[in-house]
Amino acid sequence: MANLLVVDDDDDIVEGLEDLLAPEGHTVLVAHDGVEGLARLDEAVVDAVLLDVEMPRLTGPQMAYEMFLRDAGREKIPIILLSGQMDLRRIAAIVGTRYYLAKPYSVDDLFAMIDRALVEQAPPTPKFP
Amino acid sequence: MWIALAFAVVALVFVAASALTEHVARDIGVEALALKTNALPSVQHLTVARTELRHAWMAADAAVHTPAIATERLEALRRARKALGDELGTYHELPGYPGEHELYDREVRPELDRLDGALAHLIGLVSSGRYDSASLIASQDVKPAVEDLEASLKKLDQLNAEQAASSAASILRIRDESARLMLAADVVSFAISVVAATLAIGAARRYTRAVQRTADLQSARASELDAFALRVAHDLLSPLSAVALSLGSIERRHHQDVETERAVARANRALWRSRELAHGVYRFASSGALPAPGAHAPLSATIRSTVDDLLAVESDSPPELFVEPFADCEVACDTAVLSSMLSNLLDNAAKFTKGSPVRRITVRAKTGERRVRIEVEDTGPGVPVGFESAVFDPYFRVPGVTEPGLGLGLATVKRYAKAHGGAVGMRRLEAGTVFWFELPRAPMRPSVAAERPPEPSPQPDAAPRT
Repeated sequence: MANLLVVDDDDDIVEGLEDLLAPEGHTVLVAHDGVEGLARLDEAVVDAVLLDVEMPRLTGPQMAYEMFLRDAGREKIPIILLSGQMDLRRIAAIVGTRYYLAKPYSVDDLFAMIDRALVEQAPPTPKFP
Repeated sequence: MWIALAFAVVALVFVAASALTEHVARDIGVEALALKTNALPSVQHLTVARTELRHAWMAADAAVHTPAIATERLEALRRARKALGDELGTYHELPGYPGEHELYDREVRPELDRLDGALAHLIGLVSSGRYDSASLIASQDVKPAVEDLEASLKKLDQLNAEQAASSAASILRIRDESARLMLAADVVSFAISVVAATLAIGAARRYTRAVQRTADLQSARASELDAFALRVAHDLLSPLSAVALSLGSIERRHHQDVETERAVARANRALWRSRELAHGVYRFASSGALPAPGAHAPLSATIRSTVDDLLAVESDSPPELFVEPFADCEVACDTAVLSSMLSNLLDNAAKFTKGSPVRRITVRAKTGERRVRIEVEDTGPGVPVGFESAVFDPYFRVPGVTEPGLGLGLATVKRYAKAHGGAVGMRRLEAGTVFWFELPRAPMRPSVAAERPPEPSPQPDAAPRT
């Protein structure tokens, strides 16, 4: 039903999301850090990005900023932040996305958030310095 | 120890200096007394005696050579002789220096007797009109006697003058010696005081450095522990998330298997408890941080939303929850902080009233000019006597308590309160407990004051929120 890019450095979380989302009909692309994530965006058109915050090489907010800078339509892709950061609300405000879930989240909350992002298609409006 | 010894030596030097001063004062007093009671009055009387001796000779000479006034001059001679005797008598009663009385007895007394003999002869001749013989006696007997007595009196005068000069010289010498000794004592005291002060300053500096090092170590350790706690809290949540996703997968694949559903439900409950524990550790670790400058939290809105959150969680069997009317204001902290503090008290109240016959929670807010106090009263079993302070310690659990938890909730409230310049406490009721915290009140912002509608009048009875 939708092309979803999952970006997380935790293999168990990446596999867990694949296991949940693929049976629902979604095509799941995976990346393990922000650099890989940007490379995946060069290879395919995605409908939403499920993005972790703390990752090596390029963090989630840094990847979101690159998506915004590089333009080419990527700045319009909805971003769902999935993170164990306690101040996730503040990070989401900086990234400019209304879609975020604090780890660990329930599967129902995850599906609800993905559905909402795919329907609303609200692009991030970053407040980077 | 060296400082104490130094101060003891200074004290001893001070005492010795005081004793020396007293001794010197006594010596000077002795010399001064000798001057006052001996030398000076002796010189005075001897001087007057010599004057009266001269008057006597002049009167005798006039009587001899001026017959017209002989009678009158003889009378003057008698008066002068009496005055001479009186002065010498008074002088002789004064204390004498060594050799003084001996000199008087050896020379003055015989001279005086000799003079008296000569004068008596002269007076007899003048009275009988034999002026030529009287003149001869005057020149051959009286005048030499007067001169010899004058010389003896002069010797006594000189002796007393020399003794006075000697006393004065002694006073000066004693004064100079004592001044030198006092100066030496002052120098020694000053030197020892400087040494003692230097030692004391060195010791104080070492102590201050040691205290600062200890404080720095404790602060660094606390920071490390806080950072560790934050890291642990965060790093626990990713694996928990993987567990949640896996449980979700299992649930979706085997949702018709009752046993699997029950197992997944148990695992999920444990998962959410672990999440709450990790969040509790995180909140505790971050609660010691200083508040952001200018932070404001709306009291009424925060209480309302935090109470609503509790009722949502306790929706299966909600407690009676009252919020008493209060005057709204803003609190000098982040909304998240205020909500977290109230939430901790409400969670505790809800947890510990679960088994109580009456399950009621009351929230009060008392708004003062500078501070706001928020109270949460419950009808739970209360805190046992002796644990009133310990309940606010981290990881403390009242003995015998079986309700789940790490024991960080009240400790988090206390840390937040302390970081914001506030306070926490509790008091026992007949049936239940009141836990409270105080925070500084934020000054009203002009824009907020303009936007805020007028506060409603407080209602006498607040309806329970359930």
